[in-house]
Amino acid sequence: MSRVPSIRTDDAPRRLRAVWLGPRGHTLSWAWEYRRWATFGAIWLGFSAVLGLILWQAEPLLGLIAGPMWAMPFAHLVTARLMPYVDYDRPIRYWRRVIPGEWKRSQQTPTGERQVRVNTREIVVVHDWSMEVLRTLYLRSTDRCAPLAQPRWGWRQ
Amino acid sequence: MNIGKGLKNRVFGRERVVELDLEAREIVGHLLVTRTSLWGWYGLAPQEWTFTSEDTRTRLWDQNVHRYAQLAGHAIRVRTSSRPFPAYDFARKLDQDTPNPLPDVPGVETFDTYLEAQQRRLHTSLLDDKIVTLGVRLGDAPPVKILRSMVRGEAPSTGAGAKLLEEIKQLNQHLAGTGFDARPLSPTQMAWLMHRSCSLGMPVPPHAGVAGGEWTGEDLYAFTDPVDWFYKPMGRTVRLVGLTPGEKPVERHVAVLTLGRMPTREFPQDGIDPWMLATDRLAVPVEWSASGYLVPPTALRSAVEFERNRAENIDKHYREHEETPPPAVTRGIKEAIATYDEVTEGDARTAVRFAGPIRAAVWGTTEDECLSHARTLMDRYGESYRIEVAHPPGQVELLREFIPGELWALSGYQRRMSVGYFAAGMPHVSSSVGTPTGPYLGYTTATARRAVLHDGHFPMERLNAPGVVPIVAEPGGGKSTLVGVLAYHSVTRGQPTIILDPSGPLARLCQMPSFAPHARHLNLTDAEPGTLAPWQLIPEPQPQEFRSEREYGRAKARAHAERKQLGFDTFRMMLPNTTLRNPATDKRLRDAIRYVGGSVSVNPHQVIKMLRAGDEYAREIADLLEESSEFPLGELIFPTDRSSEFTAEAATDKQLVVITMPGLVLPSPDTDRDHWSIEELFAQPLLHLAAFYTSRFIYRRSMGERKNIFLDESHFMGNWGSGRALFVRLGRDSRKWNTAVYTSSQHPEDVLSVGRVEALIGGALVGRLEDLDIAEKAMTGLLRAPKEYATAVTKLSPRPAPGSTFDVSRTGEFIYRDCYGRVDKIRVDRDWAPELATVLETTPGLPRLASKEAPPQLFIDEVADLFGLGRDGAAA
Repeated sequence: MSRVPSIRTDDAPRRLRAVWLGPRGHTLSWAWEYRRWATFGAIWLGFSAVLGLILWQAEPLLGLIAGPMWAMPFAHLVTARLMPYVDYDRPIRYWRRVIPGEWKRSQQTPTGERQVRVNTREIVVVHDWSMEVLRTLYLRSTDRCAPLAQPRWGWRQ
Repeated sequence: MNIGKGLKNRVFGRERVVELDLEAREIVGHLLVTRTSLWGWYGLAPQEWTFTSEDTRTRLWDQNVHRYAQLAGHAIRVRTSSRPFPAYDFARKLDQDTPNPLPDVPGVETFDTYLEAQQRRLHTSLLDDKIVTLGVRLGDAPPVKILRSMVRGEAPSTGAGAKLLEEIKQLNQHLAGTGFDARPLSPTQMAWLMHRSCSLGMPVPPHAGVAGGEWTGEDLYAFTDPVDWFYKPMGRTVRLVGLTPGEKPVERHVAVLTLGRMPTREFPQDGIDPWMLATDRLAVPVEWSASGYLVPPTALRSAVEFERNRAENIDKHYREHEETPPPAVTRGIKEAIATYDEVTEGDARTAVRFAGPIRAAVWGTTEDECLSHARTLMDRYGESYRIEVAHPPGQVELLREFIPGELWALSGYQRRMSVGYFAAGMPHVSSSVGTPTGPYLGYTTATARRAVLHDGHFPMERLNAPGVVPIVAEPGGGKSTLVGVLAYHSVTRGQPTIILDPSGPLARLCQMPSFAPHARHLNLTDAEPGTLAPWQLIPEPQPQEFRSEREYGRAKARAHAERKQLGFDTFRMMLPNTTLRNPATDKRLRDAIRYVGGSVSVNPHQVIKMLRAGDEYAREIADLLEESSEFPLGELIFPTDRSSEFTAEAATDKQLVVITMPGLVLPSPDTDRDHWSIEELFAQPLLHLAAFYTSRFIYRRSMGERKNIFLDESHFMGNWGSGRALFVRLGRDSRKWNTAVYTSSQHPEDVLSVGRVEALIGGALVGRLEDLDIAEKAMTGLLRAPKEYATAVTKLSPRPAPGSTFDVSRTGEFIYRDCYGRVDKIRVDRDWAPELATVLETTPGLPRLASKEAPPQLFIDEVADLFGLGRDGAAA
């Protein structure tokens, strides 16, 4: 074959994420992707609600204006910390699956109380680890079955 | 308090145990049924890759691409795993193949120690068989009744059953094609795979799967019950503990890595390893699991269009704002268009895509070891192959993907690539080389470490092929060691072995305690006088070897006649040309020898005495022979004691004979015999006797008996007439007479030019040859591999750089071509037998003290005492 075309993965177009540079005619000096805008917006709303409620007790107007205003830098800080963990290979839905999963799946049962299910066919085989732990050597004199002096299973250089 | 503490532990990561509920519901033969799907599991056969030409590789890759492309619409899972070398089976087969090992010497155990030493070596080294399995999702889970009837072998009663059977048959046939050569997994293999996947890194119970090929319902707990998975939330590893009642639990820490971005490649032209094969080179055990969906072009079209539109819109947005889009956008647009074109217009090979995550699992006995293995893999992949490897959280879910039948994640680290790129992983390429049975020779070192077994008689007995194996290497390349190892194996297995070694180091094999009573060392230049007396070179037939008295009598008579003829030929060679031209010489000699007889105890001096009793001319001949008997080389034929008779013991047959001739000067074939020096004159009868002895050693035994002959420095042999004739005859008869012929030399031409032996070569071992032209000749002539690999030959067993120490682990490297024509780089292992290693140490000279050289000083002021002056300038 004279020239074989190169092979590649489809990552290049899939990695691209749309950014919003600002309204038409005005270009913002930063380029945030839509998901970052959305995350920022959600966190800002959350923080402003909390801060606003706290400040509302003191002064309603303070809660309405100062709340969102002071929430913005905090939201920006949190977003800036979180977004590096979100990229093409680890989208938000990935984190939504993994983080709850790590804590949800747990089941703390002490070993002694585990339910040991007894199966009828292979019970001898399952518990017969001794053959591997104590390796046997094949030797011509058949009544000798010598175990290795160091029964070990492992990777050794 | 307890609630708070419990909550804290729950949130912040005391270790938890996983409830391993498998998706699999039933396993029937090679079919695995989950709640929703039916999977078929197949084992891919190993394919050749190393030392093959680019065309062969491209063709293999293309076949693989075709196989995957035809599976479009199915989900697949590729699982690679490794199994330790079956040392017990190996020893059992070796024992069965050795009917008559060398008799044990009292005090030194021979055959059992030999078997034991090899098994220990194989148990404790990192030599595994690689297992590559492919799971294909056939469709939705069938009703249980249909499966049952299939297992029982009944014809399907419903249309659905028949359709399923047809689909399975079609899939079997498709996967059995070239490129995959896949076979459905047997029950033992299926059980092995399930055990291995549930307990990654742990030994599998040896009798798994013998109870039959069906696991239903509760039987599947056999795979998950013996092991517990412990993890910490957001932890980096999973801890596996194998439970055994009454025994110490086996513990492993497993880390699962996942592949990220992968670079564009020209495969296989760029010469970089296939990406799944690369882990074989690491001294780290790795298992792969690539699960995904083979997306047919129709399903992909809208996705690819969306990607292209998105890329173009991003570009447009940037331009609206009068900004230059980053180069990634331009690249993205270009590739999106190319992908769209492939998907819509391309054939199956280019259009089908694999979409799914690709995971690699590493493990260790401690967490640190496991993490260091993970780092090794990540570093190596990033550095050599430019593939990003990530170590994400959520390890338990990732580890679950290794179990057949389990679901895989659909978000995060999803790779989408053409089947061409996926097939370029080539996991089932393996470096298995050597004969299926036989003693342990060494291990492969090119891509993976696999044990190499070599049985010199396998080609003759099984493949009907000749058994001449040339060994070519420079001095210091490890030839003598290799010959020593091969000879050790054959003698211990009781095969008659003869070694012709002109320079002599292999004679030490005769001194090994287990070989000494069965070995004979014939030194042509420095032995006891009378060692090569012609009458003693022919052993006396033993009555127990023959079936009848008549046969025994005939053999005895033949032996007598041979002795007389050999004596005659030898004495003729010791006489000058002028005497030989006289026809009376022959007559006198024959009369004398006939009178003396052909008994094994005849002393050659008796012939001289007989000649002296004859006429004047006979006395002249006697004088000439007497003179030559006083010459050092002639002494070998005539013993010092003129009158004694030899015992028959000196002539009994030995299993190992080593013939050496250090310092022997060969006559040049161009000069006339009249102009030969005395040394050259006497070299001739000695070499003739050596060749005679050798051919007798081989040809007097039965044709079927396994014999071995090692011709060291065959360039030496090629220079002398009877030697060359012997070599050609042995080569031609190697198959019929079941003789493994190993010839070693320093140049491939020595072998290829001796006679027409190219067709008789049944294997080859090529060591270091630093000259590129010679390496190319060896590569094309002996190894029959493409010439482009000749540089590999120049880099074998490298000499250490100045200042660095000798790397013992890289000595004895050879490129080995086995009887099936497979070629790979191996390292000959001699360290497993301690007595063998000491005997084969052929480095000359006294052991040198390791000189600790200080690095060169840059500034002369720093040198404390250059001229023996102290700091204050006074002389020391």
